Amino acid sequence: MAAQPSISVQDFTGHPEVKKCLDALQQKFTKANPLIVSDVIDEQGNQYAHLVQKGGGVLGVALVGYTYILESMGIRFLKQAGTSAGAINTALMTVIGAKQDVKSPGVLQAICDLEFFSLVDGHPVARWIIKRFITDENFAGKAKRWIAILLSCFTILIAADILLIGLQHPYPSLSFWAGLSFLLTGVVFLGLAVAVIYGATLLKRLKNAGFGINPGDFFYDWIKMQFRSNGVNNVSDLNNKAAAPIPGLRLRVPSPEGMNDLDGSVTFIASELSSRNKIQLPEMCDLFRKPEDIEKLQPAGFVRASMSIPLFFESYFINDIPCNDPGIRKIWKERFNEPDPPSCARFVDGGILSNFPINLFYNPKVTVPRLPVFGIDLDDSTPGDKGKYAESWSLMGYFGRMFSTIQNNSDKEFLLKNKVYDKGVGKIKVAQYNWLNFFLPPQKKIELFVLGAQAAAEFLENFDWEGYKRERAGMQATLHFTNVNPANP
Amino acid sequence: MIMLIHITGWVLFCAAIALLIAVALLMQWLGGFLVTRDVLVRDFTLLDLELASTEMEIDNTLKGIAQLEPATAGKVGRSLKGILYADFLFMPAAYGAIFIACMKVAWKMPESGQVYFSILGWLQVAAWISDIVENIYLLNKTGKIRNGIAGALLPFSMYQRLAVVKWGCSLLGVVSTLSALLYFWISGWYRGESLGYLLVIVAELAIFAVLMRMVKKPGNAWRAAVHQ
Repeated sequence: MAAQPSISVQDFTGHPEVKKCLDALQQKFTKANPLIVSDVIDEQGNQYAHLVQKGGGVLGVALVGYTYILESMGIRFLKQAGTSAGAINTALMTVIGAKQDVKSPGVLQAICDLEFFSLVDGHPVARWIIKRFITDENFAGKAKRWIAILLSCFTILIAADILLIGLQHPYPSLSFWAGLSFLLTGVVFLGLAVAVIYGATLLKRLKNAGFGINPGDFFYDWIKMQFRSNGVNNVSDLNNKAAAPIPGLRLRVPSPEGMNDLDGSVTFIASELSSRNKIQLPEMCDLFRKPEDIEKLQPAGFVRASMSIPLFFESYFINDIPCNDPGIRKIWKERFNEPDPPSCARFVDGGILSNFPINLFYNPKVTVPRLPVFGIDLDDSTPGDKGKYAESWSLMGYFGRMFSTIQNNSDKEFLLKNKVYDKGVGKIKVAQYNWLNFFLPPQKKIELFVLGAQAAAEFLENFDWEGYKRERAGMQATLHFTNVNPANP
Repeated sequence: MIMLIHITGWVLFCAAIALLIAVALLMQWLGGFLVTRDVLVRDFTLLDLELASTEMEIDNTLKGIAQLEPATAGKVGRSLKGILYADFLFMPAAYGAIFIACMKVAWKMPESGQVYFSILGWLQVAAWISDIVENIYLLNKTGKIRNGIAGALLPFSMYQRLAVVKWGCSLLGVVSTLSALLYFWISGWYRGESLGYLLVIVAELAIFAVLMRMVKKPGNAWRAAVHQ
């Protein structure tokens, strides 16, 4: 259901605030004072970085604003990784055009052509409830009120039944009203019964659907179409696109590592529930198919797996894993110490384990970095965060807090231990937007894009490549010293 | 015919309920063998097809049957067709029973009530026709999908409207007559000899409840094996 575009790419890129950001950057970074963010450059003068994009539902539009500014300032991406919405942007940025091309307008075009609400492709009643819950803050209150009214009517009618039955003997003229009252009671009862039975049927469907309200089929078809229209039909195509050679790629300054390992790649993070592991796709495809069958896997499925928000979307499955094949068993044993691989893998959103997988690009072999790792963080924290007042949590708030603590732990731990990586991370403040609001009006999408662009501009203005290199080199030296002299941690 | 219903109404009603129960048990037994593969092997029921929210949902369910193991797919296909054919027998029993009950209630009502319940009774014909068309739609789709051709006998929106007519008329008929019968019961406005019919119906329902548990067992065991 690709809608008639109600907004165009120009509405995003031509927004005065976006232009203002670009103008400011172009004024600051001139030929005399160029923007330098990396030592890896191509023949056109583009500078290269690795890029990690955080997951965050529809807030992913802000990620595009961020990459638009980076690309406009001549920055391109060598290795890319992302989770959930970040995986979607990563996927599109990988498959669109050539490695050295500007990708964001293509990503924006795909966004403009997509009716976000189509992604919510579950039962119409479920869609309606989701829409009401997200767009109407008072919906829960209204629903409670309506249920109370219906139950009150039912109670009043039953009371009237009893009253009128008793009165119709001394007052026979009331027998008509008694009959009518019984009839109305029946009709209200019918309404309640239908609602209860329908609700139970929907819950049964939810169970049969693997506890996902929306099948996610629309998204799967959409991303598959995006892949196919860019010539990506199988895993090899995807890997080839990600690792395509860049004309004239070279180092600005010499490095002992030379051009080693400066190949492109793409990684989508998904959580696999059968074996309870974080899976990096397409890298770990060999866990699920023999080498000769890997091309039978659909790469669009990797992105679908990464964005399977639990409950909101059905899980993504890879069936018929040759789990008794010695080669497959060996890989599972080596990677996850798993002696008994599952025959069916069930994926949910990678964000439940690693929503911001910046640790993927940590390379202990490199002493002085040749290019930075850039990360785009969708920051939804607010200064007056009520969630910090533990005593005021509801049950949902309690579970939500627990979930987010687990969810962010490993990424946060990496950044705490390797603070220099934080220097490459730009934060987009998106606290006022609901990440599940698939009903975002065009204006809000533009607002998110602008926020991304502003965050990118602020990041570039403050990014100090030489300082970053120094700190990374210092960190590596400390690590090396610790490894050589374990008694001096 | 109306006079016949007036005179032998409750006898016919009991007979209709007996037929309804027999066919419902047969459908329940066959329903135990309904599974499809929509990514995973999933159970489904005739109601899932009748109350589908989109045509794609029906198509996915039916196409998924062909993706099962051939022996399993054959059994599911036969069961589904069996249920749909059995439904043609279920319809006269169900809508006939509601029609009789509406007419019987109408005769005990004042004029406005008579009109209301008579209309409700005759609306069961509309419900029956809708159900027939709905069944033919599904049978047609089952055949077409088996032969690899997508498409439907009528637009899906029409199919959904038929479902609304069917369920709306029949449920309103059931609830209205039950409310009226309850009213007659509580008011003591019934003839003593009617109690015999009530006992027959209660006995029929009790037998249904007992047999229902038994007919579910083979299907449950079979589905458990398929899921593994």
